[in-house]
Amino acid sequence: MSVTERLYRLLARLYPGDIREYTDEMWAVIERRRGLVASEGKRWLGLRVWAFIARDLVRTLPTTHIAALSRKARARAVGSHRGGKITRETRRMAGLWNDARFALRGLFRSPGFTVIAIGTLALGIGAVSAIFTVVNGVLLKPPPFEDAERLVGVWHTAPGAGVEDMTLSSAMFLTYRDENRVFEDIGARNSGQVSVTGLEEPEQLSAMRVTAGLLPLLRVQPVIGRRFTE
Amino acid sequence: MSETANRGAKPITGSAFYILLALADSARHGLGIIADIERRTGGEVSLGPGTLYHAIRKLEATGLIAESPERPAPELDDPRRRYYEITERGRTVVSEEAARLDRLLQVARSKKLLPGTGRA
Repeated sequence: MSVTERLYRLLARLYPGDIREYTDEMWAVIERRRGLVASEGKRWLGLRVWAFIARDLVRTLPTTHIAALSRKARARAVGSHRGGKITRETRRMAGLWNDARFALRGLFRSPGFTVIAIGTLALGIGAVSAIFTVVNGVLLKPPPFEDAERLVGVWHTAPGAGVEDMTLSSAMFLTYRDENRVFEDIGARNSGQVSVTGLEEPEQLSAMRVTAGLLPLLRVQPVIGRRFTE
Repeated sequence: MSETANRGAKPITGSAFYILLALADSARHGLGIIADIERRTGGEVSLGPGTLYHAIRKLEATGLIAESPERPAPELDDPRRRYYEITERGRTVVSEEAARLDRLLQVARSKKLLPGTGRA
């Protein structure tokens, strides 16, 4: 069995059961097409045969499945009717499958429109997903800390001096901590770069300096080592 | 008689019409049906395997065609092949569809829309 035949038989398994039973005959049609294509010239023979197979699969896979589902829905509706209880739901489902088939046929009739519509939808869904990821990460999703709703961030700013984000001095931090009557505790952090030196080449890494009380405040444990002590 | 009354069913698709036409004069297997359609349309219409067997499945289910018990001589036969023949109902449907198309053609001809009849 050739690779093409093996691959086609594998793809034919994607059809619903009532069409799969024709796989041998369907392969005979492909072989005939291969012969016709070869008689026109052997250039790109495999590619042209696969283009024929792909076009047929794309056109018929969805319609055969929708037809199979539609048949099942109708059979269910008829079964319910015979049982003397045809419901609004079963009628609606049978109608729904017919609508789906009609829509799909319309899409296949205008491939240009279909490609543009699917492309627009894909772009739209992609853009919305990207925006949601940012909004979710920044606004909706709580920080990954226990009792996150009780955490409060404080920043200093000096609009008069034109400084939007002003560094907190150690003295101010100690004053806040000592005078605190509202919060369970107060911690401070400061991001920066550090140089790690040793036996190998020195390496510059991003680091964060934190006060001793910050990790217990956030209820987190260091991955390596132990918490700080004052 | 109206078209709807003639059929008493949904309109048949293009591929179903071609298949019924191919089976109108003799029983054929799938490949034979495709070859007949290609020969009669000068290669303009060529059904893919999925399209052909999906249509055959539907035509069998609606009783317009049936598997034929007639087979060629054993030396010419391939036991894997299934032969199909048109049923009486199928013959009625294809005749009515042909008549409907003929009526449409007459209208087109009267409006000189066909080659050799005037403007077209």
